[in-house]
Amino acid sequence: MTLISDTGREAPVAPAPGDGMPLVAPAPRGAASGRRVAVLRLVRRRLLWAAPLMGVISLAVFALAAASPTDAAAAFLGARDEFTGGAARASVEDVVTGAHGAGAHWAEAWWRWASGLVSGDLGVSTSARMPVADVVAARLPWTLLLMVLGLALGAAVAVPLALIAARQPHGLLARVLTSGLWALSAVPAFLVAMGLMAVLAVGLGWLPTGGLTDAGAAVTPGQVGRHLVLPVLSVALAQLPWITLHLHRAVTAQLRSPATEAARLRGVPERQVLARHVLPTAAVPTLAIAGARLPEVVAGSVLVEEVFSWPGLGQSLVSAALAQDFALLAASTVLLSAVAVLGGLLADLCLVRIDPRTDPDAL
Amino acid sequence: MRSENLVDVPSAAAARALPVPAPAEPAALPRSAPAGRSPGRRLPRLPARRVAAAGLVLLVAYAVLVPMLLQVDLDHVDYGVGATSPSPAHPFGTDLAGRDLFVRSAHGLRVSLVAALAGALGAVVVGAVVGAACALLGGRVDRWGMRLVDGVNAVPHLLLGIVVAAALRGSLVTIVLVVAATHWTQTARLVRAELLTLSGQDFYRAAIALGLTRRQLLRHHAAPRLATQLTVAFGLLVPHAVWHESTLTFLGLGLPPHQPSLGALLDLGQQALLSQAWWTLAAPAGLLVAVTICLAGCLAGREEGHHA
Repeated sequence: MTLISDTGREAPVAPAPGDGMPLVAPAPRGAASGRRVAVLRLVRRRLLWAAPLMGVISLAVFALAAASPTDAAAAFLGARDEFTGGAARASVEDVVTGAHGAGAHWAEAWWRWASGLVSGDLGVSTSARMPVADVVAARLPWTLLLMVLGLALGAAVAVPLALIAARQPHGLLARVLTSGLWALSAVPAFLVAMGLMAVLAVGLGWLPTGGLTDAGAAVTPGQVGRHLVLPVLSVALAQLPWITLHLHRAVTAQLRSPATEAARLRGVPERQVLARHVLPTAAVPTLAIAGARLPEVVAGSVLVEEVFSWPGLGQSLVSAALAQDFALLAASTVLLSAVAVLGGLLADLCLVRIDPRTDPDAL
Repeated sequence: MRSENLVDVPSAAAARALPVPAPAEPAALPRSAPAGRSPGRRLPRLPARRVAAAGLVLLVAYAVLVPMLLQVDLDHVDYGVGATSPSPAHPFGTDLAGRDLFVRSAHGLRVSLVAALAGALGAVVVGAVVGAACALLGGRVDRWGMRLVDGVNAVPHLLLGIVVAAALRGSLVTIVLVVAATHWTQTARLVRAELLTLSGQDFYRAAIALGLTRRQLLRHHAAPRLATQLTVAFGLLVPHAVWHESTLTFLGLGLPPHQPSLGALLDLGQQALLSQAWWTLAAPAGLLVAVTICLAGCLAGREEGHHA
């Protein structure tokens, strides 16, 4: 991986990991604290890398906004555009383009936005008609709730499925399961969501078709819980195939490994073999891939939010894009990317924790 | 690679390109019967790749031939036959405005396929250029190029697509641009890795020592290997590009609604869903899933051999 190279002021203390260094080499005594330093170094390195990345992303949004041939004032006014004349229109233009700098160069507008960011002022959203910071504060928690629950459910279902399939890798059940999941993986997230909606909400009428609560109802755990079922199920179903299939392959390989055989021969109960010997090792490659797949989880929940009118950041991202609301678009793009990058870091930290062979400096 | 447990870069890239890498595909299971198992216990297996290829041919034929043979006015609205369920006259039913979905879906598939092919081609070309520049020029170009690849990869592709599509609103060109701009990274990594591997190999060094010119080296050693890699990369990208086009259009940011792409039809289908007209959603959804599965199925075997 070519990540940013470590500036490493305290790096010389730890042995620099050359490419030829075998990872399985037994760590010397006292390496535990060195490892902790290395993990901290990994976190610092990633965060140092994430900050300019977010800067570049927001810069790109502003550059594209400037390049956009469409008229932001017309987008803001919508159908009222042709009835708004003269001075009124000019003042609207002033407000709308003021958000990203009327007449100013886009880099200048970006600089104003970025310096506002430091003081917590993200500008005003023209589509939501309120400060961007308020939109984000109201929506980000719902997005995170949806993503975390969806991913957790997907992973929780994937583990037993992968184990079942791996017990008899060539059995009928395993083959039906793997081909079914493979087919499911070819179905885009928004189709899964619409399919669930068609069956469970429209067809059977068991669950609401969308929104955070019933119309006009208060935001209570019961209400939100009922409305949360279908979105969470959609996110989970979209992530289920790849988790299961990767885990399945790893478990299958691990079940045949000498270490597992040896554990069985020592008389370790099968349940314990699975829990202690097979799953932790099999989780390693799956986790390694999870870090790279997290952006897709974010993308998947953007779609699910749109289908179910879930009031998260993804939905506001789409409406901001449709309304040419670049202040909100910049903020939600940066935040959702940050979620993906931080999630990737979290996955790598889990990897370091679970597999003593991984070298934090190499991640 | 540092550890066998960590995924190497090309296969991680493939995991992104395709929703799920090949191992899941039935044909990728062990081809010979495992030892100690009587062959009689195994179910007869469909030659999955052939089925996928046949399906793909059928789908393409449908997309190409139906609009040619049935010259129906696409925008002919007839509310009298609005929202009729599938019948011999309208095999896929009609939408709420009474437009025949059989022909409209064929048009939609055609538009989506063209957008996807062009987008995937663009992505492969950009990726090949960046990857080759990184590998051949090395040094600073390589460092910055790979940093760029990591940066683009760290951002969810759909997000980038939404941002680009928000600025340069809805046309075929925008979609192609979006797909190319977000998906060139895997190819860049692949090409760079391939060229670096090649330059480290004995026969290549021998060829240099023999005094082959740059052009000869490229023609006889680099090009053939890259060609295989690029074909596979292209094939893997196409289903993903179909997905991307339909998603952006579904969100209202891709092709304009009057141009019936799969995404636009799905968007209409979602609205019709609430009035119980399930078939308006079923036809484009079925086509989208079928085309992705067939495309991926055709390549699954190759992709696995490629990464083995």
